[in-house]
Amino acid sequence: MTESSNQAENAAISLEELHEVEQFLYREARMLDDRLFMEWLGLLADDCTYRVPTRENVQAVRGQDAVTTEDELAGIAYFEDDKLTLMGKAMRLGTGTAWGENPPSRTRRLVSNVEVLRGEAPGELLVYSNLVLHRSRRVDETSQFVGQRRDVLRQTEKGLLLARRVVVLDMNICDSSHMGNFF
Amino acid sequence: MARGVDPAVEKDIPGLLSEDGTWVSRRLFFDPDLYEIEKHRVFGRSWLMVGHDTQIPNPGDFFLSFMGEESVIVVRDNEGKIRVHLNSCPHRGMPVCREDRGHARTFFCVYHGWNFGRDGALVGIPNQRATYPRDFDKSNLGLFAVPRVETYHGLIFANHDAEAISLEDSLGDMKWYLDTSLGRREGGIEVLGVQKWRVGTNWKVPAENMVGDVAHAPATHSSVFQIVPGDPSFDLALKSVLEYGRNVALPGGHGGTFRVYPKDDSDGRLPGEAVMRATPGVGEYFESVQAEAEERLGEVRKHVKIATCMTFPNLCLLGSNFTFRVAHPRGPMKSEIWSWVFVDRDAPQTVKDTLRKFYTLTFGPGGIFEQDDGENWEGVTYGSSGVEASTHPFHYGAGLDAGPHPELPGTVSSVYSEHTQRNMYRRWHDLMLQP
Repeated sequence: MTESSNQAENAAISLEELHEVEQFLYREARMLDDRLFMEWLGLLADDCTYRVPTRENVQAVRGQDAVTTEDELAGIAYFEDDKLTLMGKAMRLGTGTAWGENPPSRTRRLVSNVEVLRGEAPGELLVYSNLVLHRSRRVDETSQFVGQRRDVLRQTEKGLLLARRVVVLDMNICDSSHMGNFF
Repeated sequence: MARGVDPAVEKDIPGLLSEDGTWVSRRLFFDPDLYEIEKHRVFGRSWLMVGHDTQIPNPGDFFLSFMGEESVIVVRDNEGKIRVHLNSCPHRGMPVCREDRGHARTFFCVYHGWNFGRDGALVGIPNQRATYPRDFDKSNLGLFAVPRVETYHGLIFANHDAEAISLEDSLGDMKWYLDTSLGRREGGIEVLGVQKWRVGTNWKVPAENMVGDVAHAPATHSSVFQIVPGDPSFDLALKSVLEYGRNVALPGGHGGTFRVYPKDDSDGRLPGEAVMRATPGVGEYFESVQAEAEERLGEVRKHVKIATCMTFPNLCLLGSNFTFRVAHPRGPMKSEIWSWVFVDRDAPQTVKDTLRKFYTLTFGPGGIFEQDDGENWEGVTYGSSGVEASTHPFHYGAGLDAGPHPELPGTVSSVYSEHTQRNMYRRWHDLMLQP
């Protein structure tokens, strides 16, 4: 879906909807920072898909100005999950023996540049946002994961639910021994 | 190959291992002087795996890889031959390729515009006629070729040592085991991509973990075995390793843990784990090609599955997770792991998708196993380098019962044995003792 073909619908995004989306993203960030993973899972639609693709240095094609191509994002990922596997990962972090996250890292998610568009299906919103995930571990280890989220949020009777997330990270090589966090 | 080595360091090399390999100095895992020496004596003369030939199916296809710390271009030339060139312009050293992968007619140096063919030959210098004599000889100014490039099941290996024994001779009996994962089908394997991440550990630590360290699994991966009560899949996977696993040490420093299933277990010897085969279409696929695999592998090997294995110095393979990897050295206390996912090339797309997802769930930096491996490998490194701690060698004395086996090549013992690690470090030591 291109932005121009969608402008009529964009105009119809209300301030209430924008506010609800922003509050959803902030609440979600707080839950993840506070390690309330089971509560966070409650924000996910049952058919949720969740991908964090790897990135590559590839030659820009002359006359084509997009930094990220769909082809690149379709490649192998660091996360390629559904709700069931995310639940498994969350439960694992709760066992007390997921040593990479015990003692737990301290994380802070900064979410910004929120842009809300109508999604392809009725009742769905396409939401872009930027994410800085800052993580402190052990004595002095810090990592930053910076990227863009491309979310589909679904409007339901229970409020918004995350139906799809693609996290487009900017790093080429993951400069950390583990990504034991959700993005 | 002779480089200036501090005589004091040279003098220490013989004492880094006890004679039977039971005691190994911690200096192997953090010492910058030893690291500089092993760049030449280990990485300068071993067969190093740089990628897979399905990454470059057509002439002009290329990808960047590493041999040790050094960037190399792996490219298919116009005749279809795979070449490995140092990624360094012969003129001033600028990398002539700065993309992870792609397709190129020539490699163009963006500094002064020198241009190189797929075969590495220097084909053009801007203003050549105005700058150099009419009969100027360009033939010795091509990209520096890595002299030896050979493949096994499509895995591309390169070697800086022109006099090295052939790849197949170097692999030796390791081939017998690698075939059980890579050679099941006539069409061979293909790779689905590569993940790259850095770990604060010496490259030998990930290698020794895969050469036969089952002992770490119950403690390190305890969380995985707890998460899905009622779904015993991962639990079964561990039990089958403990029950059927054998640690095997092979000449050349290679080794691994291999599951040898009882002759009447027809389910266990199918590839992958039960949880993966439960996905619709996947179990059926493995069943449907099992006859072909057994025909190719023969009576003994049809019961053998790789759990983990390591081909010296740093190529590791996990059979049930359909992945192989290299830990590239990045300094004495840092590694960059490149991890590929592989599948039978002729498998249906649903099978490829399932195997890729299962790999991603379990290994790589987001994987539920890998995360805790990384924690340990980093801990081993910073925990070893203290002034006092570093004076105490590591003990690799587990499993002194290793011996021959009626069916398996190599020296064989139970999975809690460390004889595969002793074998790996003795190989390392042999190379380090040769100037």
